[in-house]
Amino acid sequence: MSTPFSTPFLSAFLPDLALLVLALVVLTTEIVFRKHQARWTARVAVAGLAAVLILLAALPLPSGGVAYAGYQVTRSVVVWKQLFALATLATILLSRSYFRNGHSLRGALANPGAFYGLLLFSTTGMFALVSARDLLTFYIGLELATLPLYALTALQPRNAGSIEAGSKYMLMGAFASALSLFGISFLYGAAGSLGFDALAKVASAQPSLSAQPFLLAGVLMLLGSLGFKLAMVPFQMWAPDVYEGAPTAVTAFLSTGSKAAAVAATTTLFLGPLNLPRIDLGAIFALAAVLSLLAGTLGAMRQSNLRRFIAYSSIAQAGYMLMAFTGGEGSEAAARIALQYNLLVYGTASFALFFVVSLVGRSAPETIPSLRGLSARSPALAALLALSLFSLIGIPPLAGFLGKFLLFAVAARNGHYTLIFIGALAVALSFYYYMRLLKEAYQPVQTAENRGAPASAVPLSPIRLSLAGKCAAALLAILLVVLGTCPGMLNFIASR
Amino acid sequence: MRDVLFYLLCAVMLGFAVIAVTSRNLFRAVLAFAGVILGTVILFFALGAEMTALAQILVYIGGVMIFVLYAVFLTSGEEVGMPKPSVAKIIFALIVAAIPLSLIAGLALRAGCTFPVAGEALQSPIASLESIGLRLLNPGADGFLVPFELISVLLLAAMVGAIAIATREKEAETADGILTEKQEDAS
Amino acid sequence: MNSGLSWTLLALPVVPAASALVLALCGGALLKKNLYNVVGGLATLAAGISFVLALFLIPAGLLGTGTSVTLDLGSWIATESFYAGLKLNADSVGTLMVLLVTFFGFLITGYSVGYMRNDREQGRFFASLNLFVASMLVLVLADNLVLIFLGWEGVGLCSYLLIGHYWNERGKDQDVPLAAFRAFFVNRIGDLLFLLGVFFLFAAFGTISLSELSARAASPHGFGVMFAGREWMAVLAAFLLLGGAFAKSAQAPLHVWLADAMAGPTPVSALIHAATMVTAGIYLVMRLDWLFLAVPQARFLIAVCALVTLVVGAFMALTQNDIKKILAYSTLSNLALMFLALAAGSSRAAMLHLFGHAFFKALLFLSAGSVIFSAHHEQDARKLGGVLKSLPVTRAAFWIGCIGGAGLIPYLSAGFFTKEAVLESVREATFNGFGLGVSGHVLYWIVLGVESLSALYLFRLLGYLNGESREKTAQVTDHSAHHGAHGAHDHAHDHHAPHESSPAIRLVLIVLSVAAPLFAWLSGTPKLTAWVTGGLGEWEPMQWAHVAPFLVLNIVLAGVTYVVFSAVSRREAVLSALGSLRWGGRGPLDRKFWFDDLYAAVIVLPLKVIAWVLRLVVENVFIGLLHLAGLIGRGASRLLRRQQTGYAHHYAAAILLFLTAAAWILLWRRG
Repeated sequence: MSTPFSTPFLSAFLPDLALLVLALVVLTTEIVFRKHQARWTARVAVAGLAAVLILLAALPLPSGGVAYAGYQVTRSVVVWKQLFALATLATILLSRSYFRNGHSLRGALANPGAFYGLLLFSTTGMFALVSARDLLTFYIGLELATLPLYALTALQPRNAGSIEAGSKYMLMGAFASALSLFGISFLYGAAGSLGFDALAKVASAQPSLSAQPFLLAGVLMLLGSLGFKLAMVPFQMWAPDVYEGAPTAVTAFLSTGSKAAAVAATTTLFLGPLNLPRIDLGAIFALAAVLSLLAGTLGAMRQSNLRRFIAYSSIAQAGYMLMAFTGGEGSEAAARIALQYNLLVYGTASFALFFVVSLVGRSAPETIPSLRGLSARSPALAALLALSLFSLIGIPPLAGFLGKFLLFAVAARNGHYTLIFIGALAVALSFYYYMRLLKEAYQPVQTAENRGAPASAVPLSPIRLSLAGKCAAALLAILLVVLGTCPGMLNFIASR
Repeated sequence: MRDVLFYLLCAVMLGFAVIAVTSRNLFRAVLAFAGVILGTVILFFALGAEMTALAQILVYIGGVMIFVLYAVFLTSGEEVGMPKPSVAKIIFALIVAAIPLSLIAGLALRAGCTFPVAGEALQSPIASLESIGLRLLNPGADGFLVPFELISVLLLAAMVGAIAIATREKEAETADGILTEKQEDAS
Repeated sequence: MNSGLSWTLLALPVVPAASALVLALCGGALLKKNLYNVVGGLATLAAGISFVLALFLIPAGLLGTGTSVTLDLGSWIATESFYAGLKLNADSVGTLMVLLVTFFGFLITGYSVGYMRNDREQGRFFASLNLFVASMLVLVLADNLVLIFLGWEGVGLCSYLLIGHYWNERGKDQDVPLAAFRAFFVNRIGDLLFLLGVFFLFAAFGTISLSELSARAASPHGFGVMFAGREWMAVLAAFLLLGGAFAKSAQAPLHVWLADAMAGPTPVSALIHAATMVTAGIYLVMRLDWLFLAVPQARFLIAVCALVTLVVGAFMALTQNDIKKILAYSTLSNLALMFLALAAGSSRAAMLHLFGHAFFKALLFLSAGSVIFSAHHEQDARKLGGVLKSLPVTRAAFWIGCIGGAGLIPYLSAGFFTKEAVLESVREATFNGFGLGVSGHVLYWIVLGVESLSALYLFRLLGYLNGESREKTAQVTDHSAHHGAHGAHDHAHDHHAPHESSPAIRLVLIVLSVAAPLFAWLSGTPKLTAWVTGGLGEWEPMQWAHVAPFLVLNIVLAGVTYVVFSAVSRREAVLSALGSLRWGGRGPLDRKFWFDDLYAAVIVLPLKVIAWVLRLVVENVFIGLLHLAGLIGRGASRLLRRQQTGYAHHYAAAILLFLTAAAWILLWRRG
C-alpha cells in the first residue's frame, strides 16, 4: 500500500482523477461558451482525453503495480484504460457533426455538455471497473460504465426509436444489474468478504461443486450480467434494438468502448479470482461462443438495416472473443493479449465502418442499399470501407486475421477443436455477409436504376470530405494496415 | 425473535413486490418497487452485510429509482394507467417466475448447502453506524474509500442523465435557433 | 545474413503490389483523362520488372545444387506459444514457380492492354491483376503456412474480383455475379479447410515454418519424434490441407467452380484459371510432400479424386460448345494429371506437367481470347466456324496450342514429354490406402485412354474454328447486333471478316508460340531438364517404347477428328450456299451426311450419358448439398428473427430461463 500523493500513488490515480475532473469540466463548458457550444465542448473533451492518454502512457509504474484502498493499477490495467480512452476519443470525434442540423436524417443531437459529460462518466466507470480489487468497486464501476449509456441512448430528441431503445436498454440493464447484485451477494456469502483475494482463495479451495452450489449460482448470475454487456447469446437480444435506436455515435461507443469494458470485466473476474478449476467454465464459455457465432452470423445475413447488421456482427465478434475464455489454466496471459489486441483491431475497424455510415447517413437512411454507388461517390471512402470489412472478416495481412488466429490459438490450448472448427466456419460465412456491404458499395449506380430501384433511394452526389475527415479516414486506413503488418505490434502490447 | 422479524419483513417485501407487479398505476408500481428494495436493505443489515446494504441504498434508492421515476414521468406523462394483462401473459409470467424460483428452492433444500465461511461481518450481527462510517472512509485494504467516492460519481451521472432526458426538447429548439446561422463543415 | 540477392525476394511481390495500389487509387483519374495506355502500361511494367527480378534468382535458386535464396525479416507474429516469421525462401521449386508466375503474369498483363482497351473499368481490372501477381508470389515464396495463407486468400480474392469483372455490363444475361459467387463459395470452403489444416499442423508439430517442418522430417528419426502421440492430428491436417488444395486446384468434388470462373475476361482465365492460381493446390502438396509421403491414405485419396476429375473433365470438354468451357474442362483434367503424379510420389513429373500445361493452356486461352475479341464476345464454337481463317497469327498460335495440348509431336508439343512423365510415374507407382491397393499399371492404361480424349476435344474445337462457317450470313447479322451492345468503335468499319485485333495481343501470341515449342524441346532433353529441375530428384531418359502407343493413338485421333469436323462444316457451307439439294429435310445435307448422327450414336450419346451421370452424381449432389445448407441457414435465420420480438420482458424471461437451465445442468452433471 502506498501513501496518498506519493509518486506511485499519483501515477496510478492521476489519469483516473484527470478523467473525472474532465467529465465535470465538460459538463460546465456550456456556461463558458455561449456560441458554438457543441464545438467547444468537443474540443475541451478531446484535449482532455488526449491529456489522459498521455498521462496513461507516460506515467511510470512499478512493475508490480500500485494498490490503494481496493483499487489496483497494473500494466495490463493501463492497457485496458488506454483502449477505453481511445474508444471514447474516437466516439467524440465521430459525434461532433451530429450536433449540427442536416447531418443525419434522424435529427440533430442536443445538449452537448450532458452528452460528452455522460460519455466521460461512462469511461470513468470503465476505468474503475478494471482497477477493482473487490466486488463492490467492480459492481459500482460496472454500473457507472453502463448507467450513462441508458441516458445517452435516449438522448436523440424527436426520435421515438431513440427513446424506446433507451428505455429498453435501461430495463434490461437494470435486470442485468439486479442479476449481478444477486450474484455478488451469493459470492459474498461463499467467501465472507468482497475482496478478490479472499474470493480467489475460496474459489480455488473448493473440493467439489456439490459442496458449493451457491458459488456456482453467484458465478452464473455474474456471467449473465456480464454476458448482457458483452451482447453474448443468450443475453444478446437487446443489442439489435438498442443499436438501431441509439444515436449513431452512441451505437459506435456501445459496440466498441462498452464492449471492450465488458470484455475487460469478464477478464478481470473470470481470468482472475473466478478462474475456477473445478467448475468447467470453459465449457460454458465455449457454448456461449458457439451460440453467439451462430446468432450473429445468421442474424447478419438477412439484415438490410446497417445498425442492426452491425449489432449482429458485434454479437458474432463477441463470440470470437469468448473463445479466449476457454483456454483454461495457464492461458491467462495469452488470452489477455489476444483480447486486447482484438479489441484494438475490432475497434479500429468498427470506427472506420461507423465513419462511413455517418457520412452515408447524411442524405440517406442507414441501410445497406444506401451504400450503393459509394465507390463512385467517394472512392476513398469505399476503399476505407473495404479495408475495415476485410479486417473484420480476417483477411491477412490485415489485423483482423492475426487477432482471430490468436483467439483460436488460446482455444486450442485446452483442446476445444470443435469450437475452433465452428469459429473457422463462422469466419468463412462472415465473408458472405460482410461482402454484401462491399458489393453494394462497388455496385455501379446505373445498374441499380435499371433494376428499378427508386431513384430517391440512390443519392448520387459525390461525398466530399473536409480536411479533418480526410485525415481521420487516412489515419484509420493506416491503422488498419499497420496493426496487422507491423511485426512489433503484438510484442508492444504484450510487454505492457 | 429475529426469526419472527425476518418473516415479517419478508411478508412486507412480498406484499410490495405483488403491488409493484400488479398495480395499474406506473407511479405506484415504482414506489412499491422502492419499498421492496428498502426491505432488501433492512434484510442485508440484519444479516450483517452492511456494505451491500449501503450500496443497495445509495445505488438503488438514491440513483436508479430516481432515474426510473424521472424516466417514467418524462417519457409517458403523469398517471398513466396500464391495460389489464391477458390471462396468457399472466400464466407466462408465473411460469417464468417459477422456474428460477425452483432452482433457488432446490439449492436451499439441498442438504449441506450452507455458506461455509462465517465472515467477520457475521460476528457482529447489527453493525454500528460508526463502524460503517469508519470503514467507508478507510483507505486500507479492507476499506471502501474508492467505491464510496465512486458512488457519488454514479449518483451525479444518474442525475445528469435524468436531467438531460428531461430537458432535451427545449434544448433541441435552442439548438435549432443556433443552427439557423450558417456553419461551415468541420467534419 | 540477407544479401543483396535476398532483397530481390521482397521486391518481387512488392513491385506489383505497389503498382496495384497506385492503380486502385489513381486508376479512375487516369481513365477519366483517357490515359488508357498508361494504366495498362504501368501494370505491365510492374509485372515485367518482377519477371526481370525473377531472372536474377536463376543462378542461385535453380542452377546451384540444394541452395536457396532466403530473406529473413524477423518476426511477424510472436507470442510465447506461437511464432510466425516474415521469411521468404526460394529453393528450386520456388524459383521455378516464381519464373512461371512472373513470366505469364508479365505476358498476360501485356496482352490485357490490348484485350481490355475499351473497358471503362480498366483501373480495377489491372489493379486486381497486379495484386494477383503479388499475392501469387507471396504464396510461392512464403516460408510459413500463415504467410502462404495470406497469398492464398489474396489470389482467391483477386480471382473473385476478376470473375465478377463484367457484372455490370454483360452481367445480367450471363449471371456473372452468380458465377462469381459460386466460385467464391467453393473457394471459401477450401480456405476454411486450409486454415483448419494449418491449425492442426501447428497443433501437431508446434511450428508452421515449412523449412523447419521439412528439416525435421528429413532428419533420421524425424518422423518418429514428430508424430509421437499425435498421429491423428497429422493425418487430419493432411486431409484438411488436401481439401484446401482440391478447392483451389478444382479437383472433384470441389471442381464445380472452374467452369463458372470462365465468366471473367479471357486473359484472367488464362492467367488465373489455367496457368497459375489453380496450380496453388499442387504447389502446396509439393511443399508438404513429407507429410503426404507419411500419410498414404491421403495419397490414395488424391489418386481417387484426381481420377474422377480426369474423367469428368475430359468428357465434359467433349460435350461443351463454349470455347472457354471446353478449355476450362480440359484444365480440370490436366490438373488431375498433376495430382496423379503427386499421388504417385513424383513431384518432378507434376512440376514438369505444371509447366507444360501452363504453356499450352495459356497459349490456347490467349488465342481463344483473340478469337472472342475479334468476334465481339461470341463464344459459341458452332457460331464461329472458320473464324481463324482471317486471323493468321491467332490461327498459328491456336495450332501450336492444340498440338501442344494433345501432345502430338515430340519436341514441338509442350505437353508431350510432360504427360509422358506423368504417365511414367503413375505406371511405376502403386496406390495403397483404406485397405485397397491399385497397381500403377492398371491406372496407367486408364489414364492413357482418358487423356487421349484431349486430342479429340481440342481438334474438334480446332475443326470448328478453322473449318468452314456453317452460318456465314447469320454470323454477319449477329455481329452488327452485337455491335451496338458493346460499343466497340474500332470495329465499325468491318462487319464481315474479323481481323487481328491489336498489336499487343499479336505480339504476346507470337512470343508464346515461340516459347511453347522451346519449352517442349527443353522438356524433351533429359540433361537440360535435370539441370534445371535439379532439386526435384533424379531424371531418367525416356523410353520411347512406352511413348509410342500414346503418340500414335493421339495422332490418329486428332487427325480423324479434325478432318471430320472441318470437312463436314465446309461441305455443309458449300451446299447450303447452293440452297437446292434438300431431300425433304431428312437428306444427307440436312443431316450433315449423318455424321452428326453417327457421332451422336457412337460417341456423343454414350459420352452424354456418362457425362450426365457424372454430372448428376458429382455436381448435382454437391450443389444440392449447398442448397440444403442454404435452406437450413435461412430457416434458422427466420427462427432467430422470430425470437427477436422487441419486447424487453421476453428477453428478460429468456435470460432467466437460460441461467436456470445452465445451473440445473451443471449441478446435475457434477452433483
